[in-house]
Amino acid sequence: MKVLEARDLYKIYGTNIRALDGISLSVEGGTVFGLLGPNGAGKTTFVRIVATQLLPSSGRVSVLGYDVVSQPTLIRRRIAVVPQEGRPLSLQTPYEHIVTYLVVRGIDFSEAKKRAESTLSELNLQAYRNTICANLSGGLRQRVLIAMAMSTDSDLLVLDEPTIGLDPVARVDVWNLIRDYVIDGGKTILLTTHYMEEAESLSDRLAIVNRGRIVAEGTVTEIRSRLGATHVVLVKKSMTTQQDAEVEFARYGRVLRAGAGIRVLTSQSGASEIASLCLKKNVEVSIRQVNLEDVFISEVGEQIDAEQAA
Amino acid sequence: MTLSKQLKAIAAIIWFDGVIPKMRSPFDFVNFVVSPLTVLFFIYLFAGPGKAVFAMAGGLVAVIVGSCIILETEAAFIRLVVKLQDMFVASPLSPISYVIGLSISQLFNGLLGIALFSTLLALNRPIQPLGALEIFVAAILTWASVSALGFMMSTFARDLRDLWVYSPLLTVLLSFLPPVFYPITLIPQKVRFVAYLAPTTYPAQIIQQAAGLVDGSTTHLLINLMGGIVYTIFLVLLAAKLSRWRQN
Repeated sequence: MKVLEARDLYKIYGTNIRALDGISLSVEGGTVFGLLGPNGAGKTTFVRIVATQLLPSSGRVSVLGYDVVSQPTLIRRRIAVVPQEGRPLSLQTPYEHIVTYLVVRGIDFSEAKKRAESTLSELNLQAYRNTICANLSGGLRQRVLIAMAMSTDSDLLVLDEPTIGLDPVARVDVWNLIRDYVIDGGKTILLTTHYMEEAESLSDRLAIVNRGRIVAEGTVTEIRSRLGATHVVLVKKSMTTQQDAEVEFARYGRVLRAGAGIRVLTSQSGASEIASLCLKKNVEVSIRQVNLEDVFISEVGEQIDAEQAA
Repeated sequence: MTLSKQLKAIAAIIWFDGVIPKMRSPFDFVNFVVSPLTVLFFIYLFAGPGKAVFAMAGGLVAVIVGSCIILETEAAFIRLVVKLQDMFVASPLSPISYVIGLSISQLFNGLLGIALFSTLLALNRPIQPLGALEIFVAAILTWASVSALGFMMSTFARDLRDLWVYSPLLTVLLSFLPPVFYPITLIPQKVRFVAYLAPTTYPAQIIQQAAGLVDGSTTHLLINLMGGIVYTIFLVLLAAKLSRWRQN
């Protein structure tokens, strides 16, 4: 069952700022769908429309079978949101946040108390049950917001950059919570991120968004296959000049600039040949399999280059 | 959601945003009572105990204004900084319940001052039960009109700092310049209409009359009551129209 379906979605701020430029996508139930894109790509605008916080300029979005423009109240009963860079209030405890949020959503006080206790346990927040949020770390505060959203047992959770600003340990912690919510509860999560690793680790399907448009969509494997390469060779320093290196390696595949070095998208045999060549010339080189970051840089970078050329 | 659930939601917001912060930071109460008490002190000092009773009546209005105008920054803080409003919007909670909950929460800021000035007024003036009811209605009108104004202003802010300047300014414009701490008759007749631009002029007049500080007929009382109600309805409707629960 499709939990979310967007067709030709546009959002134009003012007269000509196109935050969304014709987005169409669908999300199956019981999955994590990742929206990956650079800052300002339109991810937050998209999720705000899905979460009935913002009206679209045109196009159609249905969430759980209801239209976001004409049936927002029916959607709001069955979704919950964790906003980007949100945080709990300082003087209140995690328990108080969860109970209040549940009662505010129409859940009885006694049921809210039960759910708050179980959510605190599930999310390993029981030890901080009565600690005011001012005394919690950034990771724990974020976990409080996620606990508020997850305690609702909503069919669709919308998480806007849920791990932004968190350290690697706290980030993995949040990833586990997200996966458990989908696996254990059969729920759906729409997640935005600009962390490649996060999108790769969490998403069953994902879309790369740039400047309000989807530039790639599919499973991680499908998106990786768009590159037409299996391996990436990172040549850390240029062999002569960067331009010469780009020309030299172009026969092995696509060459992209990567800071002081270059990145060659190639086959396994091509990667071996480039590595041998570099080692002979005593140039620092590393090889790995292609990942989302390569697709992202390839797709998004290419679009920016094309726009600059135009 | 049903009406009963919306009422429970309002109670939850009051508990969360009004009661809990005051229990954990009780010194906040003092903030909201200092300015009106200072005015009372100076009026007592320079005008004597007779006129100080005006400052007790005015103090009641000023405390409510000071504590409710904070809704301007509180609502903006919840929307722009901690972003919990996004979580509330994407939930079955109605915007009216949200605003009522937040508005009553802010009233807790002034609890100490309301108790103090009400007690001072009751000790210094013989207030009849009908007068007490009139004062209560005036307090409600002050709370509703100032909260509506505060919430409306919060919706325009794109950054919390946009609002820092307005709370003190509005407190002066609503509490100290209009005839809240003094009788309206001190304002020359020709410019007296200007005083009625402030929504607090009406409840202040009601309280002064209910406490027997100024002479006035029942008609005069009803005019102030109607004026206060109409002004409050206007501000509430304006706030409802301009508030951005779901953005365009």
